[in-house]
Amino acid sequence: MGGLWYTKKIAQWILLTGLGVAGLAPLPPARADLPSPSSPGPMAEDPGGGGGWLWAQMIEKEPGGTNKKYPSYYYHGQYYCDNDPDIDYTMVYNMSYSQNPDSLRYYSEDPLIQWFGPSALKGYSYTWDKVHVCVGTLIDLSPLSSLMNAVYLHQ
Amino acid sequence: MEPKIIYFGIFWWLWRDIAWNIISLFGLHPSLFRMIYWAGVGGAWGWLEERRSFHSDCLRSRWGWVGGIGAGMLSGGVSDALWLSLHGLLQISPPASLDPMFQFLLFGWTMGLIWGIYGSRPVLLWKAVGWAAVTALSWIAGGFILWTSASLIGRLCPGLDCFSSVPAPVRMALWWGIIATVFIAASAALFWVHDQTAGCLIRRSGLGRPGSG
Repeated sequence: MGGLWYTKKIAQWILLTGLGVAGLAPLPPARADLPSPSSPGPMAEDPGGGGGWLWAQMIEKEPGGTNKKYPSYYYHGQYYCDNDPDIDYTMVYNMSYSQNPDSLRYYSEDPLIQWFGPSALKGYSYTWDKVHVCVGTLIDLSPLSSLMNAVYLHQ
Repeated sequence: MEPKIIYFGIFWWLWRDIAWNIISLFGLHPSLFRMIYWAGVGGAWGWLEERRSFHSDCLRSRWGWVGGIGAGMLSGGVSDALWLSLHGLLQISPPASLDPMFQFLLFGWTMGLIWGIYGSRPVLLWKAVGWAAVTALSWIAGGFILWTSASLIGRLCPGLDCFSSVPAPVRMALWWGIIATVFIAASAALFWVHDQTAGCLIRRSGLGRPGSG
């Protein structure tokens, strides 16, 4: 009887906290399908394929703490990151003119991304003060409240 | 499989979401995530572990969860800085996947040390170090399961970008189930190795027997 009560309590607690608290959290700012590039978005296999961006290259995963930048907004759409019909997320970061795109790295405090995040994410830029980073569907498994905190860039 | 292993595996996986929500609700800086995350994981593991069959004086106190929260806050709070110091010291870039493994090692060591010190009367360094070593080893075993699973999934499905033809809720449920299973497997490895190594430590050296400290 004690075991059954214990099991029920644990299950109730997991449901209440996991589902309830997730629903309470405020949503981060989103701009669906922005910006609207005149040409098709960058493709997975050809991140530098002449789509109107200044630079496009892979940003490797590496722990680090120099000049951490969190996203200022995100957008999502079907074909910005790859050719799959699923909804991919792209995070947009502010970047200064003095930063070299070659030295950009991504990382996260989130264990999901630390363990299961790809070794590199596609990064590209239309202007020198913004970096767009495709996080794809990885973010599907993160609560919305963590979206803007989940992936940071550093040098 | 003991229900506690499943509970802990699911909690371990869910706690990440809850910790992010705590950050968001209270407007905390995201860099505090690691400390909150490890405090919760440590508290839950300590709470479950102190009720397990191989009870020793280290874990008999019913304060294992407090030790777990403390170890989690301490190791989670310093792991980032320690990793970067190590990075600077070695002058190389270790693979990114070693960072979460380092967090497991640090947390296991800290928690074992706290348990060992707390359970020793009088406090004996060798006893605390013994507990720290077996607890760190157990967390490394759990980390190894996560590491191999993540490598396999990463090879088959980079960035978890699979099942794109199925509707989003089904895809999310599939991934949720797969990753929850991975965490339950890691939980099983963690508990099993800790049972074996702590049991062995108690049998062979008397570490942890009441009055043996």
